[in-house]
Amino acid sequence: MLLAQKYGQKLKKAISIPSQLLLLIGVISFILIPVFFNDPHTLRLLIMMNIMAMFASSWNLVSGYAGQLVLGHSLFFGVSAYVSAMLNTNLDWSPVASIPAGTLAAVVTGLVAGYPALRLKGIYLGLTTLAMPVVLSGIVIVFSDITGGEMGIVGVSLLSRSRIAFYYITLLILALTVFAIYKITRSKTGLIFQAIRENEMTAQASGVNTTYYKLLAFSLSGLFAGLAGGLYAHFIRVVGPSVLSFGFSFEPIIWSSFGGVATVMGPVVGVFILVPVIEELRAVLGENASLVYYIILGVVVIFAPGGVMRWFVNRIEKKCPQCETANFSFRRHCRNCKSRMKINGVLEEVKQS
Amino acid sequence: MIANIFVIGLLNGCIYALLAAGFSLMFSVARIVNLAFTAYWMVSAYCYYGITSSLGVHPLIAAPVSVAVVILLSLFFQFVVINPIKGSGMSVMILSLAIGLVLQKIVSLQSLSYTIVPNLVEGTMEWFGVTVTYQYFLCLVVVVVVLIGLWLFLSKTRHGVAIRAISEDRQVAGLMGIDERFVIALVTAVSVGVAAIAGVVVSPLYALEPTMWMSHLLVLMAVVIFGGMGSMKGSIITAFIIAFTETSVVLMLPTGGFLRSAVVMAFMIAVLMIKPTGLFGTLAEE
Amino acid sequence: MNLLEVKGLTKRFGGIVAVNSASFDVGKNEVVGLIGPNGAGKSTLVQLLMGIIKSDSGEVRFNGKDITRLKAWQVVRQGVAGTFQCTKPFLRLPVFANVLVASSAWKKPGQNGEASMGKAMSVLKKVGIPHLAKLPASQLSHGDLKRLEIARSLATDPRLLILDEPFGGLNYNEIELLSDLVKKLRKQSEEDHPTENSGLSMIIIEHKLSELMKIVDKVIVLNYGEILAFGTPEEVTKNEAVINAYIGEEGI
Repeated sequence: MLLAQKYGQKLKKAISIPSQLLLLIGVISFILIPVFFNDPHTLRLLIMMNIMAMFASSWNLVSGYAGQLVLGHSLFFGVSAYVSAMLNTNLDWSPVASIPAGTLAAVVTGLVAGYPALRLKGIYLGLTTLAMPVVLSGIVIVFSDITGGEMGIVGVSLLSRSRIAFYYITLLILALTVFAIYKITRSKTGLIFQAIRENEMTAQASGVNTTYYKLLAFSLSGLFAGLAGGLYAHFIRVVGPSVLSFGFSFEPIIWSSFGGVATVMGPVVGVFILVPVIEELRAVLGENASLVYYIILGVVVIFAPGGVMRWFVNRIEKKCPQCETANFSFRRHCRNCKSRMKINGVLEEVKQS
Repeated sequence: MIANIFVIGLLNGCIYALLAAGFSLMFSVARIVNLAFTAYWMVSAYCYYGITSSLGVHPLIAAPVSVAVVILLSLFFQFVVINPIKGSGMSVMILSLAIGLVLQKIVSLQSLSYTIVPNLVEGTMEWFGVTVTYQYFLCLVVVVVVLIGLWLFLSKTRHGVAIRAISEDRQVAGLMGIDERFVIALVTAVSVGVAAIAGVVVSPLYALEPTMWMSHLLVLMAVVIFGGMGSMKGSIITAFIIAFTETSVVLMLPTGGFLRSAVVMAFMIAVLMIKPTGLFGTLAEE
Repeated sequence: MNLLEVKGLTKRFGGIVAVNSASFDVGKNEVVGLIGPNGAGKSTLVQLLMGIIKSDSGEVRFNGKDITRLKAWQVVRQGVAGTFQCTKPFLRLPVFANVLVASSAWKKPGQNGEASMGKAMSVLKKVGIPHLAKLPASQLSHGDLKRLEIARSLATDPRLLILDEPFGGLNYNEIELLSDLVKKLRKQSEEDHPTENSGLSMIIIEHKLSELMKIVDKVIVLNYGEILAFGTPEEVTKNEAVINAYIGEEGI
């Protein structure tokens, strides 16, 4: 009884903060979606959304939080996808083993790719990382006997035959990923990542071992991108050089910027809006879909530079001027200290009288 | 084989050099990484093709018209899309990429891929045992003339000096009463103009394709990073180094066509690891 | 044994000798002023001490340990913390987080998360800006930024604090407040830490000599990368070479 009361209070507290209420509604609806829409097409889209949300979040961790500009993020995704696909098809590893193996390979790749970050900054680092997946796709072509070359690796086995089960697996892993990133960003590690992003020299002068933390950011990012890549390989069942392409590297940047860079939920929101939107546009407009898509994207980047999530939360959530508690913006009095929410409201009354 | 590498590498080097000169000018002054840059080059090539073939306009009129159209297009995007969000490097990059993709889409809606454009001057000759068209020589001459013109503009004219002043030090330039908006417009026009000229002269020599800007963008990035961001001399020299390397890979290795970007990129990573500022760079850190 | 011992420290940039064979030492609880004309190599010298740039030759010993080749963050962990001449805070992070990075960057013995938070708040109080803790650093005034910079350095528990032009660009009131702060820090360290292995020494670079002379025990005068004089303020102000090179112009 007491326990129920305690959680009841926690819940009540959570739903009076608009952004948390939204998150709760979001989570519940994504748990319930397959009950109402379980056609293969929708499930496929939902699974891809989960995988890509992990991918975007992993980019956000290294570039959004730690400030290490990665323009070739498909490297980590691609390494994991290729490694797990090759282990699965050539050595008959089961997906349960090959996905962790691929993820591990992505973590190691993160350490290797992080090495230039110890010497290079900003756009120099960005372009070096941009070059990495290109080099790797060259290696894929050279060793086409085992990598399948241009055609890619086909016949990768499915992680789960049931799409509904697959959906829940990816949803769970996405939830764990987002929770882990949330915990990291609220920890000392997250604080130090942001300190390095803001000013590396000052971070060092504060006693931060920047070498260690930069490599940590890269390998953590590799971990989450690797998970996404492994799941992708065992869902789509074909892994070709397209997972290492220039365009694919830019996707997580686009999604994250759309949703909100350096916010925990931003990349997820970006993916959950943009991936269905482009899919829907393709169905309706065919060839012209990408034209409309990029125009939408441009408009959002111009008018909501911090991402749609920040923009939206700022609209529905207001901080109380007295006690700084988050309130719904329609409230006239703070739910905590009962003081007036609007200061300019008073001014208007004065004007009217 | 070697003659082939030389002839093809020289042409690619010239095109990369022109593009790199423009790109690095824009970067050093406006401090933005404009990913749409090679898209303007691609649009210019198609524009020239469209005006000459569908409208039947004489090439000598079509060339300046396409350059002008592309410059106006770039100014439009610069002032309507890029400038209002000044200060955020990431947003500029994404927006410029979106601009490039929109341009690519518009072009591919209008025309077929792999378009062949007729030569401005007809005829061929033997050069080092390789059959070369006159258009090829015209292209080389134009590139050299444009590069010299660009150099003269930057070092001898009043506006050119103002541009260099801003690229050296924004604050001081501001104190000297140089209008930044005007200079950014000027730099956009000049650098995109250079890219547009490259597009016009190259269109009869390349098989045009709306996606060709992507692969050139990648090489261009390598050139400017490799040569040192913001160093025009470095970019031009590197353009030729990369062009010859790339052509050798394509012609000498069996799967060279797929490997050319990979080899160039591996090269670039190696150079950056040894010398983080690029071969001739000065602007390593802000 | 002195806290800091510098022997023959030299740094060249291309053909220019920025610091030429500098030797001096800083004792426990001592406050040393570092003065010299513009371009004399003052900032280079302290950046060498802080491990931000690497010396060409010479040796820096701190608390008996050779720290010449250590990286900047390792030097900080030995107990040498410094402020930058132009403040470089973590602009988009709150003031409190700015200090928290320094107080929690590595675990000192017996310290948990709570202790780091407490430490961060206490140094903010010490420099007098606890009311700004929640503001992003980008909204601070120049004077408050200087204080934040000192707070950040103090949060690393230094035994030697290096202040690079702490009064630069401040108005008279702010200078007054800040020099009071330095005096207070010094008094506190004398009162709080009577033991052998604690206390706070300081090196202060400054142009405003009148302010500096009031708070230092010793002065190092640097000119063209060379140490012209090293002694108490009285000795230095009487030194002929110093008067010729520097002080004469300022009219002390």
